Amino acid sequence: MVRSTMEYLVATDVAKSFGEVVALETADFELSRGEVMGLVGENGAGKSTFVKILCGMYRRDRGSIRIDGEEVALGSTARAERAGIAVVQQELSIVPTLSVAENVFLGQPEARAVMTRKWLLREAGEHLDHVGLDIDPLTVAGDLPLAERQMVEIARVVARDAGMILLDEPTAALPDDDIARVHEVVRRLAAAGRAVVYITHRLGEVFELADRVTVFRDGRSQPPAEVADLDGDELITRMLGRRLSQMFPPRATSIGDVVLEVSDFVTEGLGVPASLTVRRGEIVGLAGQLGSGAGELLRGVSGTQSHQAGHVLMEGAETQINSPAGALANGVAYCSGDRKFDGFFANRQVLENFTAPGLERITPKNLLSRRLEHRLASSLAGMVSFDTARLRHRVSTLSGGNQQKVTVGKWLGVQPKVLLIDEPTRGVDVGARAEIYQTLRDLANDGLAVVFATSEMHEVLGLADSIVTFFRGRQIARYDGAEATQAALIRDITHPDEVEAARR
Amino acid sequence: MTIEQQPAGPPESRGSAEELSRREVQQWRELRAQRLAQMRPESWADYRARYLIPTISFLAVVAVIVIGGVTTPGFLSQTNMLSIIRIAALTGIMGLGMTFITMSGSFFSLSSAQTGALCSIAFAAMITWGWGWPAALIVTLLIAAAVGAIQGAFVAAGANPVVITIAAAAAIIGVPAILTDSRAIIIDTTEAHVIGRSTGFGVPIQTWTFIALMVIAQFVLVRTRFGRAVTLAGANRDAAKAAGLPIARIEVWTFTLASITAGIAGIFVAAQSNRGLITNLEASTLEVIAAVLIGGTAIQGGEGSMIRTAFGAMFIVAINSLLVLRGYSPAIRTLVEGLAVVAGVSLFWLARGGAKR
Repeated sequence: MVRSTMEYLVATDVAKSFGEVVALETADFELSRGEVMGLVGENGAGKSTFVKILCGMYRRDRGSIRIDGEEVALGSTARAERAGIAVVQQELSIVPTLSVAENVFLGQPEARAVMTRKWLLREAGEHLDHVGLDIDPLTVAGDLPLAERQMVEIARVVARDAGMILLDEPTAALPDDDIARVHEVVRRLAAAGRAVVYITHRLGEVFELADRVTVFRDGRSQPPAEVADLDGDELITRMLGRRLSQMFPPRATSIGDVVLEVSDFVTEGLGVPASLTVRRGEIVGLAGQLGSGAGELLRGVSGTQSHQAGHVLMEGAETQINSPAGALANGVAYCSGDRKFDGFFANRQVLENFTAPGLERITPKNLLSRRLEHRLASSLAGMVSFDTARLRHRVSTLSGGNQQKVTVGKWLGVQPKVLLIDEPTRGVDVGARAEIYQTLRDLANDGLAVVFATSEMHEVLGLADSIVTFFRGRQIARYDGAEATQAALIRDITHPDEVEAARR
Repeated sequence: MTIEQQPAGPPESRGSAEELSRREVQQWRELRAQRLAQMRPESWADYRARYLIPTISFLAVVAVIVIGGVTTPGFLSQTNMLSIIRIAALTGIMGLGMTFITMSGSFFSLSSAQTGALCSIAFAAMITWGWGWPAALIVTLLIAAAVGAIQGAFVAAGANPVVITIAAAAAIIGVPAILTDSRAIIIDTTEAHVIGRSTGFGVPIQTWTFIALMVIAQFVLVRTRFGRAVTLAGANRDAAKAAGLPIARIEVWTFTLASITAGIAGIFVAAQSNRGLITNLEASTLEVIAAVLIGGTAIQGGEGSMIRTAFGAMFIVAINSLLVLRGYSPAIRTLVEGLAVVAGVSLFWLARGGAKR
């Protein structure tokens, strides 16, 4: 690929805070025409904040951004567009009821006021060619498969003639064949002299596609590195700030009797009957991407969503769980992966958050005891290594890591036998991650059974005593935690067909 | 930190006083001081949330009274002040129940005025049937409770509280309108004078009732399991559901309480004016909502207090009285009330941190 020596975009010391929460401490970034710059970093590393600043969704607190040597303000999506920055969002913004061609010109300033069929056919056809999409431009967009909708989205962005194109995990929801098509388009864009930023969670893509990679960690950017000089381990170490092995506590030494047994379980998003066995002191990791069925199994078992079939046995006894309250009554706590939505009470104090599920324990005779409340909250804070000096803070003012500690810790107040956690470290910085892993291990060692669902492979590999993989609503395979390999897991959660073919 | 390191209580409670050395008592005092220090607001945001808003609503009441006193003769007169606290008590009593609904995240009941009117008629009718006032009072409040519980049950089943209470308002007023042919039921005995006319230390009984109810309601809100559950349900309904809080029961109870307080207001009006009439407490619903909002209880729930609502009621009634004394028409008064709600809600939004939240 031809790379011009002159940098197209240069950002220096860009920072952003929300109230007391520092989302991005400082970021330096550079990008040349004709190159694909990989952008990686864990959730909460500041990567998405930086991207949102680039596309004008957030206004930076300080720092300079220059395009072709000229300072740009950005600060609104319209301004970012005028500056030549186009974004392909993670969530598709295709309007399903409009035709492909109409979608391509949606919100385009150069589009005609009245779009005739003829004009649409001619103009849209050209843009669709650019991304190698050979379909009738008048097809209704909602009828297209996901991958092609993604291409339409890219075509739409390309139609704007932007100098720089930002792709935010364009392949997160795509199967392999379609991923290859997206990669092809990305290469073509770079070859045509555009500057491409490619954000991804799949590190393999970085090596396959990118010329350079910028890693974000703990709210800071690291200097861009030539992909050719890196290997996979090195990249992970850069992302985590430490070797993978240092992140995780040792595995369980003694595992007790079966606590929870789930069989023939079917729920929305998990169409093929699944089963699960969890023992005292064991941590089970469910590996799968968003919508794979891993998180759905947890939601179903906890009564957060209804299930269509299946048996749940708690300590050998058949149990009916139809609501979160019912789950709690049976000793099953579910910690949602979307903590902002139903994980915490943002504008209430940490203290009140910690004691919310175990309200009975601090309200003897229905009267609230401040002494009991403080005692329970302090003890829960201790269990999840949350600083007790902050018990009176509102949760909204805490960092992602501390919010997650509160979200997890509050469930311990009901003394559950089984803790189900969806994405235990989403939006949590590396230091707090290690603490959360340690907390979960400590809890397991104290006899709790833990099941967590995650899309981060190193998390299951590092933490789980046994692993179950999921793909598109069905259970794929089961591994012993110490024996599973990253390659096997990734194969399972991305292309199970091959796995099955190989087994036969 | 574990439980053991927290001071559980004075050491006296864990053994006889003689056994304890001075050092242990000293240690306990230090720990307690530490804990008190932890209870102090940690940040400006925390201070803002806990004290700033009630301070603003209190100062607003003071401002109206000072301005009224300085500019308008007769505003600070004993008669006018008594009249303000008498009317504010009615708005305030209804506001207490409404605050439970707002705190729980179900916004408002729009049937308060009608429930009040229904109860004024029911109470008046029972008195004219020769019932004693205690029996009439209790049965009327039971009716109010039933009316509220039904609305709460609908909301608990997933109905929109605004839609349900608008519909309920029409139904609630419809039945007595048919039964009484929209005519007043006149109380021609002195049976209800205990409620309508008695005073304590020169202050009308309904004001004392309001003060007592406010103390009870505030206690229920902050010091009982129910109150905490209401607050959490309003702070984040989904998180409350996930935490296993009994959302349906909370809905039924908050609407029942709001209905009962409206009923109490209705009884006071009937006892005072000696008549039960479908236009009693007419148009009070919006005034009550205004009191809750101007007091500074958050419209989305999860943050607020009964004291704030009391300030809100005082403010609304005082400003109304001031405008009446200055000879403004009801149209102007409604306009000012509306503007006050807008100003108050905007100000509190800013005080809570504005768009940064």
